[in-house]
Amino acid sequence: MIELIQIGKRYGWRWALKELNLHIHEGECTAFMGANGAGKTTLLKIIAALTSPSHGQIRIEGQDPHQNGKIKKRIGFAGHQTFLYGDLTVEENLAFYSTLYGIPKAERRIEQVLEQVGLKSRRQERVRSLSRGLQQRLSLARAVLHNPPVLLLDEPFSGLDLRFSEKLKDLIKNLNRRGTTILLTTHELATAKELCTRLLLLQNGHLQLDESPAAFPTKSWFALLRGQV
Amino acid sequence: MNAVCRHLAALIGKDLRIESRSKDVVLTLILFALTIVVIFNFAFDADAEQSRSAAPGILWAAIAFSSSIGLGRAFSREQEEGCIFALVLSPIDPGVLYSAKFLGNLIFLVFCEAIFLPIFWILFDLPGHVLQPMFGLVLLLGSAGFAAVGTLFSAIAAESRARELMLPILMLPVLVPVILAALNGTRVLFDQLDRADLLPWIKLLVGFDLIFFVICFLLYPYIVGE
Repeated sequence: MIELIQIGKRYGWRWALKELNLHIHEGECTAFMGANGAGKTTLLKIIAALTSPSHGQIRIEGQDPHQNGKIKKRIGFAGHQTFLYGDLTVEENLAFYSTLYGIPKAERRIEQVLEQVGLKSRRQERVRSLSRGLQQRLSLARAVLHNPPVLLLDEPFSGLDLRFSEKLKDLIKNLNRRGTTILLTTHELATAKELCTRLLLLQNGHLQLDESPAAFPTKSWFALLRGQV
Repeated sequence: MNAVCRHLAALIGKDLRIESRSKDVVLTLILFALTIVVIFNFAFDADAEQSRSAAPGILWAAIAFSSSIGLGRAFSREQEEGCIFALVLSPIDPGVLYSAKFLGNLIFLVFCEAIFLPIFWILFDLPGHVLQPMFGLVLLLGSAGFAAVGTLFSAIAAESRARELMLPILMLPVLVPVILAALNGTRVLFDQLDRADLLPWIKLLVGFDLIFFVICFLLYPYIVGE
């Protein structure tokens, strides 16, 4: 499904990612973990074709998203920024993206995703007037609006309250059950173990560990967080 | 073709809707242009002849400087909350994105000129004959040149730290042929010279607009792609 071959990314003289090889199968839910600056966000951006790798190749369903624009339609991305227009309402933002993605019966789909993120009653409000947490929820709605087979979530739980975090976990589990390939970054080991079938540990741009949740060594993770690795 | 039109309409509609609520591009353009015109109006005597000879230069100086500030603002809204990334990630063709931003900017410029020109006309005590269809054509072609170059350079300037400073520095030297052609074309019309004198300037404006639209259209994907 997603294949990374010798991927490297350099910012100036600093390598954010070094010779990364990875194969992610269809329907997998994969968590990228690591300390700040480990290269998690850069990796997701490369997969989403938002930034080009300095070297190496990426294939999604056999095609390079940097070369073939059509494959981008099959990716959903929610990152640190919400990708929303503050002066448009909740509904107008989603309607705009529905038009770009050519979503049939857009109104019904918008209704559906707003229901999923609990923003149905606030559809007429301007995004600027929503709290950061609510904007984050709307950003998730935007990312799943076109039913993408590949969903990339960069720290999706940051800024969310406990109740919606649980709801989001259910949403991710449901999407994964329906066959969506999900790649997410998180600092929460418990969340990653609960949601994902595969946990990858990145450190200084290198892939250190690639394990199942059961086999993932909790001790290494906490040592890494304390800066002992 | 259907998808291209749908994307164009969605992008332009979105920009117009946001502008109708925030009004930041239009207000910037109009206020800056008016400030320049008012300053020059006080600098010259009310002598009609002197005013008329200086008017084309003042008009295009006002449009050039105000657009170099206003067009930057038009792109910066795409950068707030990373919306430009969502557009790059979406299935729209980067050329369509450029065309939509170009048309949106052109609409903003023409709209502001429509408000600003009557005030300019009154302040400089210009005769009625200057408000003619050919003047409209010169304004439209000049504005199209500004929009074509400004749309690309506002995306480049947005990536730099000194974005507000960077846009005029990058954009105005490239626009010298447009400013000269539009200024001279306007002078021919204001001074009621032979219409044949207007043709070379119109040709230059059309040529510049076409060449720079194509160049910027082709370069845009490389600018907004990263």
